[in-house]
Amino acid sequence: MSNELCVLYVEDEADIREVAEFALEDEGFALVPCSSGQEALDKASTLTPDLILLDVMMPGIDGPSTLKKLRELPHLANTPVIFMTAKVQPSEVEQYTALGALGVISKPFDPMTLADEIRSLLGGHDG
Amino acid sequence: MAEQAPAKVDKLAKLRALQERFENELPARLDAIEQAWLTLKAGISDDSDELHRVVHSLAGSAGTFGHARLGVHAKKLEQLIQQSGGAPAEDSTIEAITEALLRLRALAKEGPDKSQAIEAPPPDMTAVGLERPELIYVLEDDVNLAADTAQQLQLFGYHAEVFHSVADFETGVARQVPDAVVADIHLPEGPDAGPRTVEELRINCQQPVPVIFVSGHNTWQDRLNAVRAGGQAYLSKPLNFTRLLDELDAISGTQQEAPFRILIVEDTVLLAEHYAAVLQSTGMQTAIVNDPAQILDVLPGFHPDLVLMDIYMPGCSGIEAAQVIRQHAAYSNLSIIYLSTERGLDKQLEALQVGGDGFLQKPISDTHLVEAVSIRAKRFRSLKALMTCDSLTRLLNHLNLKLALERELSLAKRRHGPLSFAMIDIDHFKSVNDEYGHPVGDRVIKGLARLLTQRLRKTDIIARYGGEEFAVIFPDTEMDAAVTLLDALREDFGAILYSYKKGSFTVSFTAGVASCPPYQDMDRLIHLADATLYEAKQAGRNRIHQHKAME
Repeated sequence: MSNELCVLYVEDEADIREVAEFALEDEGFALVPCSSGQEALDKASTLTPDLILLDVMMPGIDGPSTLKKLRELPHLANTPVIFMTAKVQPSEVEQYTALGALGVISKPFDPMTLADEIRSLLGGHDG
Repeated sequence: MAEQAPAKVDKLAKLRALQERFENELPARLDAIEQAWLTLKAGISDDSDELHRVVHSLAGSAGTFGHARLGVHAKKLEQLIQQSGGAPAEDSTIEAITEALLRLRALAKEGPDKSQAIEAPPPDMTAVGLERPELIYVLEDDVNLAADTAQQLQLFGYHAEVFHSVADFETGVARQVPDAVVADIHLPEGPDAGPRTVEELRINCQQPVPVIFVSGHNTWQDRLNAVRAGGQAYLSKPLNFTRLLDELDAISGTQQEAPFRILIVEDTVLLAEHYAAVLQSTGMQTAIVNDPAQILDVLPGFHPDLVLMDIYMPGCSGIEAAQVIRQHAAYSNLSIIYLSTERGLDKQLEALQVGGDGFLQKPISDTHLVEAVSIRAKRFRSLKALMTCDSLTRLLNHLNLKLALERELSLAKRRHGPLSFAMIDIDHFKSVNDEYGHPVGDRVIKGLARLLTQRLRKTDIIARYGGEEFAVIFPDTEMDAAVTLLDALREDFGAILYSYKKGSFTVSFTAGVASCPPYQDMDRLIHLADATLYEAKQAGRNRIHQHKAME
């Protein structure tokens, strides 16, 4: 239980970030919150997260572009990624999984079940 | 698992706080969306990115904060914006976007989704109105009856959770103690499993949890068991939901009455704040006006039980201010108590002659102030209820609806804001009376009154217009928003089960809505709402029609 998963969490909306933070605390996740793709890139250079949680639509560098840049860092080349987005059409989900995402969590998410959703996506991946 | 319980409760509380913040910020976000849209529509900019971004962010977050319906509509709006890509060209798109924006406003006003799980654990905020039990556990092994009961409770704004077995119920209680319990007496666990379970709950909880027992076996032993387990009420099956709701009302009735609302008119800010603090400390609600010229702006929104009026103020004396208040028919029976250093009996009598109801001498001790104000507020409130309310439903009567409408219309005109007015009529009410008898008819009337009271907003004014006809004033509300609200109520009203000897039935209602602007005249507004109601009746009932202004 002491083995918390380190999550690099990128979301531009402060209130959503806050909800996610407390939804995941005490649930075995340690969040490193970032308010933009750029901040995530800055922090990622010195961080080895177990999971990357990415909002899709953000001003500046959007989620998919952030992911591409993160993947260029060798130590993040294989880190599991989950996208969070309000538009979830099957074609889009495919597009994200093609980018190497484990899955997509649709917004609005339910704070009471977010942790479970993430765990089930991680499922086979993390054991 | 047991260790998780407090964490969950804690999370709910925190979530509730975040939800409140979201709600506080919501108007500003909608303003930003509207602004971005107007900029785009007016051709000041042809970049729809900003609009898209603000709408997208609302679509993605509203549901998380208990506004799922608002989120869904924000998403629809987002799709409209995406489809139009850049500056909108077609009129139909412009219209659709404008409409979607109005819908968002309406939903924002309506507050969070009722069924959302983000209900606060017993709120300790100083809410206006009666404290009602919010979370209700239903312990019932009959799956269908349990589901029906929960649904009926939810229609009236309660949060109901169903448990089919004693074990599940106990798990539920360990997670969160409910505000009230509806329990069957006979359960698979035994013929008195209900009362036994409840007794255990009582022993384990510091706070008494009110319980209503339900039983299909109307025996002495059952009733005795219910009494011994401390049951608040005993209802036999088939369950009469109106009775159940009455009992829940009675439970909340034993709790505190709505706090008194006192308007303090006093030019000395510090003194006004001191009075306010003293009165608030005993649970009263206060509003302060330092400049008498603002009284008329504050009165309609605050609905005080009593006005505490200083006499000597710059610009206008309290006596003059009282006279101005009395010029309005709607405030002719508002109680005004002067608070003054005036010792002269003549001057005091003069003050009373022109519209004051009492005189308190300054300086006044805190305890004296509290006593004097609460005694008077209580008396005025009960007198007022007798004068203004319909005895069956406790809603405003016909006459006082008109006074209220007049008051709200003048306020709307001054604010240049909208107001909507609805006339509601229960469908085929005569045949309800004929078929099921007048007592059942009265229950239907009370059912609608209850639904309107519990589900409409605090600011909406509800009246029994006569017979089976109701009226609602929606201050500061556009037509669309009023129609959205009413339509949701119409659907839910149709789902309420009324039971009679041989079974149960449902009833529907029809409504007609008219708005100001364009209609500023009270009689015209009432007439148009009524005519629209008639038209909706002709069109087949069980629907909401809105009056369309002729060009």
